[in-house]
Amino acid sequence: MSLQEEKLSKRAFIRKSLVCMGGMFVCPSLLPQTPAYQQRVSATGLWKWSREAMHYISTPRGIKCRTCPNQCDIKEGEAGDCRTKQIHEGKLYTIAYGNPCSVNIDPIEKKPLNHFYPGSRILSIATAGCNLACLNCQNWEISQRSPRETRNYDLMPQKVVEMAVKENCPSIAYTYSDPVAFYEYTLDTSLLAHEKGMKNVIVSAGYINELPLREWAKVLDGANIDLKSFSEDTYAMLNAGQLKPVLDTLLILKDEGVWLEITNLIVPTWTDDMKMIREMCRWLVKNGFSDAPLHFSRFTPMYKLNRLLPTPIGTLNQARTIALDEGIKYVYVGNVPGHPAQDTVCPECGETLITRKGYMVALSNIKNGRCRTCNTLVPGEWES
Amino acid sequence: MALGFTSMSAQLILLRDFLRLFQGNELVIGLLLASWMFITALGAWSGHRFRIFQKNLFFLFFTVALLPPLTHFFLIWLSHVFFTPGVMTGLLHMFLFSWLVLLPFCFISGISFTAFSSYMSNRHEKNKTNQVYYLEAAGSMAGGAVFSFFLVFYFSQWESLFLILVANMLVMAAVARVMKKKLPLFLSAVSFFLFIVVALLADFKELENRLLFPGQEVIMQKESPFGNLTLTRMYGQWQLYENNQVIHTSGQLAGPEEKVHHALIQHPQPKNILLVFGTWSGMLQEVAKYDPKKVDAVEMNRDISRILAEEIAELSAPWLNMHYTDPRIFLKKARPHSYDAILVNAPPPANLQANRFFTMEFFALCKNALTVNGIFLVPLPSSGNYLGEAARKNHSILYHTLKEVFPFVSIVPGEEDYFIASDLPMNWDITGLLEEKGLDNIYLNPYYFDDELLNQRSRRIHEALLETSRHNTDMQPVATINQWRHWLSHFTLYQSILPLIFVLLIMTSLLRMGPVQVVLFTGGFASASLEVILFLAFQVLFGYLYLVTGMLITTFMLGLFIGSKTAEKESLTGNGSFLRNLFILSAMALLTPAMILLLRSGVLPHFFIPVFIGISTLLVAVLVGGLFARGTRMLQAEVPKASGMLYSADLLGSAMGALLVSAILIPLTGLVNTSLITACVAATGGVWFLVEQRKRRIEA
Repeated sequence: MSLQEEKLSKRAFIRKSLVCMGGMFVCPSLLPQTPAYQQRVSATGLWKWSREAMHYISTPRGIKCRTCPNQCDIKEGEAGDCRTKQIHEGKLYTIAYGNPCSVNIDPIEKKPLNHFYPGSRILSIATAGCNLACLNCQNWEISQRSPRETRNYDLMPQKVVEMAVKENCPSIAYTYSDPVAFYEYTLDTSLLAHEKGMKNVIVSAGYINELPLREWAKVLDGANIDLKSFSEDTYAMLNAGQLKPVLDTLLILKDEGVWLEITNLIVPTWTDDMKMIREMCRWLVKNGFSDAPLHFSRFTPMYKLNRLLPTPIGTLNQARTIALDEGIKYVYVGNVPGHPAQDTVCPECGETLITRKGYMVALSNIKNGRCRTCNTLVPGEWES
Repeated sequence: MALGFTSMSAQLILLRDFLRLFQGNELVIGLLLASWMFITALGAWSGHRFRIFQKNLFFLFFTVALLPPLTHFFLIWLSHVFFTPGVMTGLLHMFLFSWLVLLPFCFISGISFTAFSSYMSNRHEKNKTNQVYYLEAAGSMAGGAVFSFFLVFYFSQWESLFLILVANMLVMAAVARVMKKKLPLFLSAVSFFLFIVVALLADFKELENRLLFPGQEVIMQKESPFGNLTLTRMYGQWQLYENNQVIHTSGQLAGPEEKVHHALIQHPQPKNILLVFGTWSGMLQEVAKYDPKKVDAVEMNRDISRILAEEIAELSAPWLNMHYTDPRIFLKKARPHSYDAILVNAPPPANLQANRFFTMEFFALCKNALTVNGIFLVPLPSSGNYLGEAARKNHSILYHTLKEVFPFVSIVPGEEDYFIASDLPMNWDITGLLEEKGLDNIYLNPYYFDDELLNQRSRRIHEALLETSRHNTDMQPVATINQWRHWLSHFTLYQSILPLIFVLLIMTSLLRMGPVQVVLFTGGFASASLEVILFLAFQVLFGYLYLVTGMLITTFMLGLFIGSKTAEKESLTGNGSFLRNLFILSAMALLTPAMILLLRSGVLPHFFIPVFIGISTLLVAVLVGGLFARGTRMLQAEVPKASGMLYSADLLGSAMGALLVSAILIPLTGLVNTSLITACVAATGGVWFLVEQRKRRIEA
């Protein structure tokens, strides 16, 4: 009998298996580790930062969240796509309320908002969670996490407003991840901020249903909506979303009188098709957005989309030319330091209205919201 | 021999393909190599079942020769069918894809070993498995040497693959002629001419470029020892790719300005500056603003300078001295206190190679080369608006490691997070310093930066850091494992457990092995493990040199050849002589850490390092080659089955070593503990064999 032909006994099998498992003793530490603070709260229970959510209904299949077009059917023990909604005793709760994980003071031009109190500072807050899953998210460490996985501040709406006052910020931005994911927190904070005479701004993908948006719009003063592309397929593949609801959001915000600026991030091979950009600009002009500033933003490799080149500046310039050709009056190029298309130019007389150097306003030729040279009305929110 | 030649050169070429298409850390490389060896082992193990191949060796060899270019083609094409362009690939998807693509070539090359062993043994009426083994090792040695020292410098991947293919057709024709086999002679002759015509007419490279660089004009392409370099242009912007990853692009202002000025404004008069990996990224243009007396720029890949020579005007500046070598070698030779600032632009420590520029030993070298109050800068990827958990650990490790060497360390957030270390605390009046020096920057200026807001963001990062953390050292590369955790956190958890499942799969294959196979398995494991340890030790102690890497691979194959050939003639007197090599390997693993520590201490002359590593590599290979030769005589079984069993055991052990050691044990436990674990594994294999033998004698 050769050495290999012997059958394995049960004892030998167990002994050898134990040796195999022993050899694996080091392996678990390769796995991403659970932070200690995460273990302090149960995975499904409520916590101090929970509030009953708005905009949900009970269906025979369970609870359906109706804040955004994902319309998640959430079951007990599960979370919505945004990672911030969960069920407790038959009700839907948000767990992103008063617990932002990122709090910063930024120049308002960084949002970007070029026609909304230029040169001012803005208090920016975000909780974890997002209702989209963009492959190129620059804040994925926040957006693709639940508030239970991040280190959070304890900052209830009242405290946010107090902080903005203390830091001399005339407005508050709900930004970084997507404020739709912390809708209730944003809404309550905005109400209090308005009472103090402060402005509220959202920087969002605009992926939200009509009813919550109309309610929200009552307390919003400005919005930068990221129109990520003009193709349903691209929205599905790049962002796990849909285009139509975002276009509806633009129309609703305009209808509600919220100051609106639009950002279009140009990602090489994904959203740099000039035909698509022209189509997008035509839709914007046709639907009355020719006065809304449009920011073409430069992509840099990020998150899972890290094997692409940064957008060539020539691509951004070409997109800008198309937008101007189609009748959009204020077209900017973002994420390119020193690019001349950061200044605001009067569409009537061609005079430079605002000269920007970095995030600063170096010179303003706007008086009472009008061009000093030709008296053309420049849309936006300006310091009186 | 031709089989070994094809297999080794194909492995080197296809591995480079995978690195072009996927992330290239040791976890990925370990998984790929382990997959390669595992599939080959499966082929060898089941080879005796495919009797048709044993009767048609010419057909088998023809298939083996044809498959590498086909695999290369399918690898590129299918990667575009299965994966979204530009998107990072998860470990699981990459693993499944590698199996899909590698299965035909690796499986058939495994079968070939068994089939050729069987043929040779039948022909000579004697077990000739060992002869096939050492001839294959000799072929591998030639394949490794030809590719590493010749093909890679002068030919593209496609050209190399076609050259190997037509060379194989010539070999096949020659053998067929000697053996007077008309059909194979005709087939190989026709194929030889056909492939030359195809290679001349079809522009595979153009097709490949259209898939890999859509919408871009490929200006220049070069295979360099460090990987494929491609320069493309799109809308007037050029970008340089190394292994399909953009490493430099024109029009980037923010990063270079931040990297240079955040550091240099902290020094009253930075005149002597050392740039490590910063030449091509736009940093030279920024350094020029300080009117430097001397700038030493160290780069490893000389081929990049040949590609970008026309794009960077400062390359001809009188104050610039270019050095093409490993920065650690350069710093070891640098005069103490010779630089006012050292700016390191290394990629994050996501692999053991890059980690060498983030260790305490490297920082100490830099500190030694800096003048009193000199400034040191090294970046990590930006924490953006929130420092995630894995990034927090990475930042903490780097911060605490730097603090061991420099009294003051500050983190300045920006495009990346810049760690600035010095003998003095950082001056946060950045806009004031910029103004004082009269610098005309496009991005780093008071219009983009507010000192207070920047300082506030920096404080938030400092507050988020862990109070204590392990230090990243050459021997304990803890930063690498944390980088992997960060990388793995991009994907769902099930992707992270893949390496563990694969390790378990290989371990369970042990359950089907008999004692002789277990000895070969542990021998294969110990040799692969020692190879990784010695190679890493060489990089740490001496520096990375491409030619030395090629020489080490060649030396290993030479050792296998010598070991298995010389052991063939020895008489086998019992278990002791069979196991001798395994126990020597175990002893070597025990002694290696001591030797490495001795070499690190500087007691022995510097030239002793390559001598020690070279001799050790040869010795390890001789021992494992000898072990295989003795194994073939210990195992009393029918040749095709026995040869497959032994070869697969050897390969599986090596696969285990490649994956477990480089991807898990070294980053997790360090070099010393890995050596000790290797010694234990080798000794356990020997003891296991003795216990099993004793049990059998008692039973008998």
